[in-house]
Amino acid sequence: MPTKAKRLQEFLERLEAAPPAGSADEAFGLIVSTLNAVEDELSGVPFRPENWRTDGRLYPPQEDARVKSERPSLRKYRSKGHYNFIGLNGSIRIETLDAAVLLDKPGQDGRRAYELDE
Amino acid sequence: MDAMIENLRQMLASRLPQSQVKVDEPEHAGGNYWVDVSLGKKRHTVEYRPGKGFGLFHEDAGYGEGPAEIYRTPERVTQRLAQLMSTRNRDARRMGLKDVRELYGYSQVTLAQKAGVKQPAISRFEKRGEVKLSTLEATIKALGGKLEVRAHFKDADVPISLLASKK
Repeated sequence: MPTKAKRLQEFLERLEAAPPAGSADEAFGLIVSTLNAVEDELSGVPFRPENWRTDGRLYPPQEDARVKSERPSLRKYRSKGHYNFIGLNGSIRIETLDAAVLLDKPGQDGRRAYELDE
Repeated sequence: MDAMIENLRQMLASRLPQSQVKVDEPEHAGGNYWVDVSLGKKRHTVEYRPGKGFGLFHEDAGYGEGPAEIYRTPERVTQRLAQLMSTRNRDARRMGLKDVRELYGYSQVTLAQKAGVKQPAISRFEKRGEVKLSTLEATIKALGGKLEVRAHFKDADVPISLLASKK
């Protein structure tokens, strides 16, 4: 079974390769469907999002993990070690807490997350 | 800010005065709080879910993975954080009986008395990991908990009864 790090890499690669989203809701849905597909294929752990405690599977952000964002055009979702930024234009940016950028995918209009409020 | 988070902040300030505490607040009322506590090179993250408690993540938790330990009160999670921050080479991925015993403030002797087992049995378990399930069950019960053993399979997740099967 691939490690968590390899599954994360696979998720990021598929997300990068997917057609850009046109809205925040579409981008959120893309993250959810992409990670769930990777974990269904590679984790060997059944999908049980009702379990809060870890079962070894990686789960996409849920609405209750949305935290206050300093940028009006970005929704911000938190997980243990990452922030997921989703732009109103469908852009997606995933960073570690230490601000290392893992993914910076533009929305359908070609703009990236951090370009929206400039 | 939620009263439980305010309590946690105050307890951390009192118990770990040198620590840095950063809180990510939820966008919507009723959402989850994220608390990052760092002291020197150590950093631990707690997710607070209103009505459910405080989830403490182990260091190797992956993207989107849930917490490994869950505490119902700010007191207990603060105690656990103090335990993790204070010990040098503690492996935060494992929580042994010693950690649980200390979390609830028992010595080996008082715990053995309360559990109705001999103190060397507790000591042996803590040092070498050797234990009878019945001793472990009595010990956890004495601490106020309940021992459960579960087996996880690819297609099943089942509890294993600690009672002997009757023929």
